[in-house]
Amino acid sequence: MKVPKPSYETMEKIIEVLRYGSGAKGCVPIKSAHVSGVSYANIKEAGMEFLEDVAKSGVKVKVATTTNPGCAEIGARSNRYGLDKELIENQRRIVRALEKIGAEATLTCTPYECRRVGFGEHVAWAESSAVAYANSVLGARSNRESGISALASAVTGKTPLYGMHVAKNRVPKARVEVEAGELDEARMGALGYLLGAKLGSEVAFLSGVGRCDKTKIKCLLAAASTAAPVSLVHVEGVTAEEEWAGKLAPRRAEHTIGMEEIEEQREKLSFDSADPDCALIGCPHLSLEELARLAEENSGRKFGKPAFLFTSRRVAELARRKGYAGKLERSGASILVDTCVMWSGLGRLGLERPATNSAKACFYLRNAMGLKPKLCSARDCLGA
Amino acid sequence: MDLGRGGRFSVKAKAIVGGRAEGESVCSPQPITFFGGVDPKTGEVVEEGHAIRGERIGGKVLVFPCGKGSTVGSYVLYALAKNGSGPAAIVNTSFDAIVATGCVVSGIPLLLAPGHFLKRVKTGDMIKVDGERGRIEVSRGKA
Repeated sequence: MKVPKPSYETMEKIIEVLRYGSGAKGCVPIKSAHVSGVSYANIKEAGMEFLEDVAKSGVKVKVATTTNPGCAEIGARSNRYGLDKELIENQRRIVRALEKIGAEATLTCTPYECRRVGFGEHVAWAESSAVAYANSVLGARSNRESGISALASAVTGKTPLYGMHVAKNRVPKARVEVEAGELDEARMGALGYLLGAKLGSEVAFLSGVGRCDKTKIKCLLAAASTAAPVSLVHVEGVTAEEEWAGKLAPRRAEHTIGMEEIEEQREKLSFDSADPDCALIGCPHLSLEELARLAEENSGRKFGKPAFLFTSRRVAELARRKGYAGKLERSGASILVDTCVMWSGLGRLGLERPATNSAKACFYLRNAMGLKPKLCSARDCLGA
Repeated sequence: MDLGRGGRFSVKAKAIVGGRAEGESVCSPQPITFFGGVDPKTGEVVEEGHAIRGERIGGKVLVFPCGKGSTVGSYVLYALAKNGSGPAAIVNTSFDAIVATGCVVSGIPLLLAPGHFLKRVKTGDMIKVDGERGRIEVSRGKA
């Protein structure tokens, strides 16, 4: 059997097949696309060749298109940890192909830090945590796309009109009450994971969470979308459509989640090794404000073990200009860009027991990379 | 359903990705995770505890309910096709975006059969899919 070379027609066919399969009557124009499936460690030779063939066919994106992280740094400092040169070169080939198609090498799972996203905007994003953030926090509308379907949307400028693009599907089907007092971001992640495990893809209205900064909401949504195909969680007093959703949500709470259950979930996700050998912060990628806070909280300290902070090139550059990056590096942290906690360097450095504040990271470090992560707040990870 | 020796039947199916193909079937009652669940080089199902673990899907008509797991699965189907270890055709009983996308880019015919189809076929049946007319023909007992 001969495998066809991808072309513009292939991209149109993907959108048409997905429209047909979803039962959508038509498509809707999109404002932006976010492409996943960028990491060479995931898509390997076949994915790389596919993207290069797409680039060679001459197709170009019609809308602003951002890209997910790869498996390694690809900039000037790419070989500071002695990663395999071929791996870095393959990662570069993927990024070059995407750039040729017109996508921007943002290489981040937080595209909303690179480009403003408007309330009610239709977008086609892959990367589950970004989709949950866009729908919930920003009030934009995106289904959970795959790397290829997001690329097809980027190139054709449209997506099938179904799921999260339709207002009635954004109405919460269940109310979940949290009775746990103030939670740190690690426990917010455990709560998010519980939410996904209990509700699957159902849209929920979450009340009783209280004060919730950006780190906490990111950790909650990333974990929820790791446990199940969650696209949207309305959080009382926090998310974009919560007022509207609160009125339409069922009156009675279907689930009540307390501290005991959250702690139990945190323990299940965590290997809880007594002696982590490094800290991994930035899943999803750190924002400028988060880096500022980490720099502030750890000012003048020396970290006792390797600390890796993950963010985008763009945010790292801003943090460098503001002096946050320098401060953190003087404390012994490494700021990594273009990649995420699923970074190929961990194996290279022989690190096996990372501490992380992200429940999502914990899940993947354990299940996909076979490591023994510990889930605790950034403060605990960095050994304050 | 027991078809007896030389028995055959056909069903109407929705063609998601067109094309015609013919081959021996591999049938799974369980959804299939391609990323991590199928070896992209050999086409062997390697997922721990899977109902068809150890089966090779290369050149076969692969019958299963739908895909599951990582969306990178679409690229695994593409890799399988490029490596010559891809299925000749896929028959699902419910629509799944990962499988559908993978089939479009790989040129693998994909048909959606009614739910009862899974109970009527078994591994080793000969299956002919016609993605143009939307028909699947099954025959048991090879000549």
